[in-house]
Amino acid sequence: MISSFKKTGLILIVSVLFLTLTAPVSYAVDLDVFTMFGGADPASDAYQNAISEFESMYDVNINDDSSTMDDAVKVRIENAFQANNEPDLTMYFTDEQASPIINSNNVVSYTEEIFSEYPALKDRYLEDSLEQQRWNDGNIYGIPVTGFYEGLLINEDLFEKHDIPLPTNWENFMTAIERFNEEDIVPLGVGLGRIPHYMLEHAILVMGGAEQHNAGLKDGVPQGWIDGLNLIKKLYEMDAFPVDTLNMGWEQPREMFRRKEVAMLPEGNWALGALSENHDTMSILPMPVPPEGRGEYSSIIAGFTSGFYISEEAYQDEEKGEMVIELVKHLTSKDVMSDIVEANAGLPSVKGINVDDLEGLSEVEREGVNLANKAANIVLPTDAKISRPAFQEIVNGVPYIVEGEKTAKEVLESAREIEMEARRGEE
Amino acid sequence: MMDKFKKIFVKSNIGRFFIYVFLIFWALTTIAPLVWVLNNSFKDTDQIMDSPFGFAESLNWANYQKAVERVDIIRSYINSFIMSGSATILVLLFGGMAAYILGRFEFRFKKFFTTIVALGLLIPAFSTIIPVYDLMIKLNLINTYPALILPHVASNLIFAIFVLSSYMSSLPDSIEEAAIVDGANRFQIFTKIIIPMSRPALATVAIFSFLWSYNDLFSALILVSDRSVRPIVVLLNEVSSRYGVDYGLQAAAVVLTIVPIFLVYLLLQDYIVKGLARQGSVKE
Amino acid sequence: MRQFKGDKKVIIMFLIPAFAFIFIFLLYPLIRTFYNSLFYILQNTNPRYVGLGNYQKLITDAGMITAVWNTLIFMVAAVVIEVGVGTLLAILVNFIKRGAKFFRVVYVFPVVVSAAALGLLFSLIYNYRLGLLNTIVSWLGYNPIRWITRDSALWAVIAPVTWRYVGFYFVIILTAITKIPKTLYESADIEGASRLQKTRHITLPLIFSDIRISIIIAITGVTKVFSMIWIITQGGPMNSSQVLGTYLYSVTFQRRLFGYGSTIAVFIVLFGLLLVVLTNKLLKSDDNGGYGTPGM
Repeated sequence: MISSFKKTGLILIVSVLFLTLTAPVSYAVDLDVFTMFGGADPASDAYQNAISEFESMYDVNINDDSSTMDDAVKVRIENAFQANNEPDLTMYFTDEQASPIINSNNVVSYTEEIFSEYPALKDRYLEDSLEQQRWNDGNIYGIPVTGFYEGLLINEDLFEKHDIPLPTNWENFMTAIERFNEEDIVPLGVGLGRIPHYMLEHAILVMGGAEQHNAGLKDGVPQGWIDGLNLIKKLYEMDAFPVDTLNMGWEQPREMFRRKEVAMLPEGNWALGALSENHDTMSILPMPVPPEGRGEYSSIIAGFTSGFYISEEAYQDEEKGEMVIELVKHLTSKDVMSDIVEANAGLPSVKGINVDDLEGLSEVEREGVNLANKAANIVLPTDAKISRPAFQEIVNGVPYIVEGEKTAKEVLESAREIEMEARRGEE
Repeated sequence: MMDKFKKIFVKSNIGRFFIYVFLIFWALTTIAPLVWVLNNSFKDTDQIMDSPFGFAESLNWANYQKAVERVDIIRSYINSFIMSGSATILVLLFGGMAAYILGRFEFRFKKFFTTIVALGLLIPAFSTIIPVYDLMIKLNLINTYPALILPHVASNLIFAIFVLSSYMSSLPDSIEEAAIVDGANRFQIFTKIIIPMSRPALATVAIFSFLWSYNDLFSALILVSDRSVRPIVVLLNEVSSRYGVDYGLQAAAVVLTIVPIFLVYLLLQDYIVKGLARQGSVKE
Repeated sequence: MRQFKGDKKVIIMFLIPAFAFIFIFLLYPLIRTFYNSLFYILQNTNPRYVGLGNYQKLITDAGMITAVWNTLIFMVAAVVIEVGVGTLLAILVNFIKRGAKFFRVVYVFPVVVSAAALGLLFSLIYNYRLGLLNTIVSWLGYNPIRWITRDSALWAVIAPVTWRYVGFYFVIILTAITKIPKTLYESADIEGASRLQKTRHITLPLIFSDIRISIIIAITGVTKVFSMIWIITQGGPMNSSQVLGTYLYSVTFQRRLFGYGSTIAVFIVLFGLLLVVLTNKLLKSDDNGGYGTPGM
């Protein structure tokens, strides 16, 4: 005799199993797609339109699993590739963070396979954008979509209101910091405690110059890196940052900038989307270079660090293989790209798009893209030059440096040790 | 005699007063956050940043509309209830069975099992997620209900066994022995005596198991991310992006997530009260 | 309790389902984690065998030492506040008739609301510029205070986390109190016992094992606490509010060191185990009338 308790339990288990076995409707071709254009991303509408368009053009059903990128999602995607369970088309990072994807051997190499079959495809893209996708082994595994750029966003109206000259050179920059402090406005919006990233990158770039910045840590700690961190300390001691910067991330500085409580904000094009209502009173400039810095004023941190990966399995499949390529073509077509660029103000990866023609972009957004286009050097950010644990070591070390508890040299040498340990695996 | 009674009466009243003061004070601290979240759900993000603790101007349902558009609300609720509900039922069933043994029997390898239970309490969720994910891939269960149900059963079993065995162990021997004399076997004792007598503890375990399963965002994102099976808690993740957190939307998402749980809790509340009434009439 | 021959079968059958789950979804991953702790694994690829190298790193890791120390402080606070206040509230609610149901529902609210929302709430309470605390402070005429600093951060996170779980232990202890037959209280009333006396001599002794369980759950819970702390301080500033749960997350998901992260996880398990054993030994009494309780 089974007790009623067990009976209900059994019934429930059976019904649950039954529910899981309900099969979906099938189309000619089913494509699983993942992108970073999830729910709250500004480009999500443009992206959704693009896939609906695609579905009406071909007999394809797209299972879109796009999601905002956070740690849990990163883990999921990385593991999906590791477990041979990857989506057919995946948009993911193409910098250091890509190693789990590429090392899983489940992605197709464009250089080795796809470009030879589809030669016209390669020509669509700007050479620089493709080059940045090149992996350590010389191959290209990701097709770039939109790129990003970083710079110094400024609230022009605040400068005008208090009669302060724009920070187009170092002297003005220093003056601005002093003057804004007098007016009780935070000069530089940075959260040194949690996300000093953009400030970090700019500081190392202006003090070390593109060459030292790009050298990374593997051949020793470049002096420019030490100088860069010390620059941040100097700014901290000048009270350039918010009072509670040691407990801030990126959200608060940006919010304060929006509310005109911050004059200058080192950020990237993605921040422009959130600040759209202020675009008329905003401008974007490169980070000024101190006299003792080795960098050039027009060096910009920008690049393409994400792209579309095609699953090996999907590519080998007769029907899917072709469809996936068509989808990539569609998503990087001029029309779709224009829509996406208008939505997220990023750098287009394909030839033939002139941002000055895109009506959906504001003045400051165009300025930003042109900053990148006219730059003497385009440099990928610091976290693309060294391994993640090494970068995190520096990030964690910044508060200690500005508070005087550790020296920049100490922190960087510790980071270097971590970097060398990470590289030991790559033999 | 009269003085003694007066003393008790007066003491009782003043004491009672202070008791209520303290209880109400604590209640205010626990209600305030909920009111705050509810209040914020009617503001948009700008208003929240401008005055995070001020009253909303009007009943602005925009955030709720946005939330409903972002995820398929009905589907997500159903998914949540199926997954968390199934997990809870299995936890009560298997947990109750194991707790009965561990709480009331002595046998050779008992210590082994109790140690494992204690061990289970210590395992951090972040360590188990990847091996569990790999396992689900091998069993081809990713993005199906069991993918989330099974690990949740396992982690809540620990808590269940802890609480239930403690409760069951303190139920008097005499009850079982009397039943055996009457010719009952262990199954019957378990289902007809022990379980009913453990109602309050079972309700407690049910509530918290359901709650933890329902609120578990991290595992849900990894094991059941597909739109057709994902639970409502995922909505909480969809409110943020590289562009920032939409605080108004998040507040609405929190409210939408809480409401069903609240109802479930009220339901189980009554169950506890009934259990107590029974308890009072049980003779030693 | 007297046991019979047929009991062996019952024991096995009743234990198998639960322990099957536990073995597959908790112990197997634990073993895998232990295995991983012997490797250097960056971003979950290319494992490189390092033997006990990660463990050597653990011993000299300043971040780890801080995390352990902070976790211990947290545990003491957790036991005193979560279990202490929870028990107090349960006892008080047990004394009153009117409104008991109301309190029972309301005290659990913080546990029902997601940690993320509460984390945001407290971030906004502590915020330097527009936080509730500083709003009150300036209203009173003083200068705004930095609530989250190196010295205050740990307590700034202990407060909300422990406050949150009070309701959880409240329910557990209240449930335990309901086990106590009303007749005991009735006879005490007749003899004119005060509430204090009733509590000391009836309630507390009879719920002692439940309190002990609660303490164990509280202590082990602290080893895993994460979300709220991460949102409010992310373990900072400068590691001052770093606990084991946040450190594990930081190493595994920020630094992407899965091997070392596994090592930390193993440490957490052993550390927690040690504390549970100690707690059990410390709280051993002539309790539970010989029925046996789980744990050691």
